[in-house]
Amino acid sequence: MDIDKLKELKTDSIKYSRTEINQIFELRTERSLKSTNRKMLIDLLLMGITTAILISITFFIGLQSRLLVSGQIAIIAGILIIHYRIKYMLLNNVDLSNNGIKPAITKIKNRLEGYIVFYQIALPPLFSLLMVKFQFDTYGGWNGVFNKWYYVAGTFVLSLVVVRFLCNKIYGKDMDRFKSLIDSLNNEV
Amino acid sequence: MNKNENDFLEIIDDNQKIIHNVCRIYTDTTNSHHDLFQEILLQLWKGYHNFKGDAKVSTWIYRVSLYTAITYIKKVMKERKLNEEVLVESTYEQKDEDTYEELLQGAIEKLNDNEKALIALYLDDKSYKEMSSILGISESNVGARINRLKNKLKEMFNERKDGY
Repeated sequence: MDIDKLKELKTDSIKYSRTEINQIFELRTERSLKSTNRKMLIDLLLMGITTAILISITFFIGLQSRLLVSGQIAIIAGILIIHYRIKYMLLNNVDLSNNGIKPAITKIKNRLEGYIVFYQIALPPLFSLLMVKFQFDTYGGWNGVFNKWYYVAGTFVLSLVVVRFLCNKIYGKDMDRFKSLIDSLNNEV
Repeated sequence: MNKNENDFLEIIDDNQKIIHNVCRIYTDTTNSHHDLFQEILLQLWKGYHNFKGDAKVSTWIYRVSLYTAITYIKKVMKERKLNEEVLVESTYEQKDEDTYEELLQGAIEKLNDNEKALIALYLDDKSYKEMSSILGISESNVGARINRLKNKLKEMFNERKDGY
């Protein structure tokens, strides 16, 4: 068996004309413009909806003014959009003109891992703080917060579980694939 | 179409053999070949603005093509492949005997994504240095992997030939 024989096979049998390449290019870039990264959009929507629901609850209970609630939602939506944009750019702009494939995959994996860790560290305390604020407003002071401390603890644990589950659901397969690719590239003989 | 796009498409036209080589290794049907070509074209266009010419154009095109094939296209083509599997299998059964090249091609299809990348570069007569630069692994590692791959392909080839 000689693998070099495959070199002799004609690879020019498939060749697109310039017109065909132009057509493929136009079709593909058009499609690309219409669709952004769906997974990260889901990510963004989930965070946005959750935050909006949490703030809306305090509004419907009548704890805050309409203007204050609207302002909070607008600020959080703005932060989420900026965050989404930065993340999208970081994950999609792979510099392959200066780096080989292994460093590129490693960089993407590390960035994605960083985001997952960030979510797992930042979101549970954030939701817990919202619960503290909710308790504080509902029961009129810190006494209410301390008396019902298990609500805050429950929120922390529940959000930790939910965030971990969602991160795993959304990015789990991609992370596993990146890790296995890097492992196989690291596999020195 | 602006000048930038024209320059880009000119480069693609001149180097389309590289993209076809990668597509040939990673796909087994004309339709999926075309799909992968499209996907690579898009990724090249996305990276074109960042390409400063530090690396050779062919090296950059290889990197992007292989990176795209390895990381993205598997998901896109999975569904399509499933639909086509029945057709491919029935065509396969009609043959009395596979040719030498078909047997070898069949063995290559069984390799994992990283191994396919090495084979694509090897079949295009790239030096170990270029392979190392494209893949981002050491030259000594490239050499060892090529030898290991040749042995692996030899075993797979013989198994297919014997009808296992």
